[in-house]
Amino acid sequence: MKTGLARIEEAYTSNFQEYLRGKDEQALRAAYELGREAVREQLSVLELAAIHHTVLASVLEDCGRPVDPQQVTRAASEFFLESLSAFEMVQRGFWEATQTARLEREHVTELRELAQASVGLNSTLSVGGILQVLVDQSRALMGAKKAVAQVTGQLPDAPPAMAVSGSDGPASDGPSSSGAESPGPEAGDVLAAPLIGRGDRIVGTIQLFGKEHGAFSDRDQSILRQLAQTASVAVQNAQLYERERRIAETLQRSLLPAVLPAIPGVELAIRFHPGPGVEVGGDFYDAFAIEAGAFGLVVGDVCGKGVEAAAVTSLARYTIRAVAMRQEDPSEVLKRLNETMLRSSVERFCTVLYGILRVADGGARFALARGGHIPPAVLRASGEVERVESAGALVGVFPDPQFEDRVVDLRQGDALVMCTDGATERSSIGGEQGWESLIGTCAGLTAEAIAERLDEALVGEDGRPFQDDVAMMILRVRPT
Amino acid sequence: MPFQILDTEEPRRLRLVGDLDFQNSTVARDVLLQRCEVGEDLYLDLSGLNFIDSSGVRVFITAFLKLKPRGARLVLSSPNATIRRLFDLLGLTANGIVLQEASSQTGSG
Repeated sequence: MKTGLARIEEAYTSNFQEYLRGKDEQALRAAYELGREAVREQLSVLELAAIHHTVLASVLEDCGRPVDPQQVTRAASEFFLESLSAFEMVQRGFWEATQTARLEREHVTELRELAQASVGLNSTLSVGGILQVLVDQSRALMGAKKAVAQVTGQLPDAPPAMAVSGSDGPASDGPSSSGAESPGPEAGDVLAAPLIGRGDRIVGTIQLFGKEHGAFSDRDQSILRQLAQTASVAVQNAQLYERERRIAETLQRSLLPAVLPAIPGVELAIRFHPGPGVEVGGDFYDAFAIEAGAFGLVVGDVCGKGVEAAAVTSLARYTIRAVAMRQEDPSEVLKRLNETMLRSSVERFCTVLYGILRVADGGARFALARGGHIPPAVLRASGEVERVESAGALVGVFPDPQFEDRVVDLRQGDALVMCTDGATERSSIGGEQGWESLIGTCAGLTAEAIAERLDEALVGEDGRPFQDDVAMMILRVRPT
Repeated sequence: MPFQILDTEEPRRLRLVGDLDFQNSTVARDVLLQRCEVGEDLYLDLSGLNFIDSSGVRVFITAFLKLKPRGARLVLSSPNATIRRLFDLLGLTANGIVLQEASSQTGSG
């Protein structure tokens, strides 16, 4: 069996001679087909050229017939060119494939970079942070000298924000804060896209100035538009989150006393840590004057979080205040609170510790009742810790719960610690026992210093955020 | 540990296992409330219960409040020391929810 090369050489010879004789279209088509076959057989252009030259030489040397060399050469070149056209098509095909592959690679890179930028934009919760990511990423992606983004204040309490990356100077690199300068080295070399808010309103812009190499392309424009779109959504979310956080903060503040009463001869210290997230927690405390020398002190915990819990907190706090002004015994106050909560339609309950502190010469007397709450701990001046246990159920569940009144006499230097379960359940504390041992190390400290030490233990060495709210109230009878 | 409510051989006794908290308390509540339609005591074996938070406490209270007008009791058995202490602090046992000691109950599955 002949090799491809030999077969093609043979066919080339016969077809070429055919063409010389008649110069018809059919012979020329045969040349084209030969070229295709040469490509199929993976012959190189040089090999085909070699065949051509061999055939041409043999035709010119053919002494049998008279030939006109010029005419033969012209015809030969026509035939040869025709056989080469298949090679040309292959080359063009290869070039197109390369081009497509390059574009595809660029497209994939672009998508990846866009995806990375999106992650950056969406994992930031402040408007300023989002704008900074936007300018840094778009400047890097498009190779711009400078990028500026700004958001005008759209929501009532959302302030305007701005971020800049790069600078106008020729030796520019890295972000700069020269935001107020006039933009762009060349007026025409600017690319911009709007930031769109809800209701298709334009809430801001992103602008790129001066492409490092060449000019901004349509592709740059579409990338910038996509980035701006992603950033717009992120900005809206950040503004809503910020607003919700502020509402929660305001609500939480409204549930806690703005000012603590001054109790003669007694130090009072408070610590309050809201839990994670933007929701209002259920822990609360209160301290108020009932009459001369008598003060109501409250620490409580409403089941759950959010607006409904806040409503119950508010109900509990003001009910206690109102009833406290008329009733003598803390247990009576809790009974009335229980009735009020059962009558209200809320499906919530709470635990409350309520007590009346009466100051007297050389000390104070604390009369208290416990509504399912963690009992308070007394820290004697000697360092001894006493847990004040008493019967009492959580408030807002049972129709006729019994609350037991207890009285604790505090002498000079004695302290009392009340808290919510966020404190005793914190893993760094070690339950009620751990909490009481910790309190035992605070003898001799002022109420404020006790609060500080307990707080340090709560926050712990690793400074983990609080999983639950924590409220603490510490009072100490001042030693003389 | 994932929270689970398991059936036992006794139809009115369920076994609670794992951590009962805000993540699963709604489901737990729905399952238990179904069993509270009947006016018969409901027994919950808590020996496998590791932890409960305030929303978990709410599940027991809701079940108790539903059984009570039907003349039935909610009987909890063998909670661990922390949960037992929590029930005592909240005054649940003093106000109608029955707590059984580990020794006085029949073993379950």
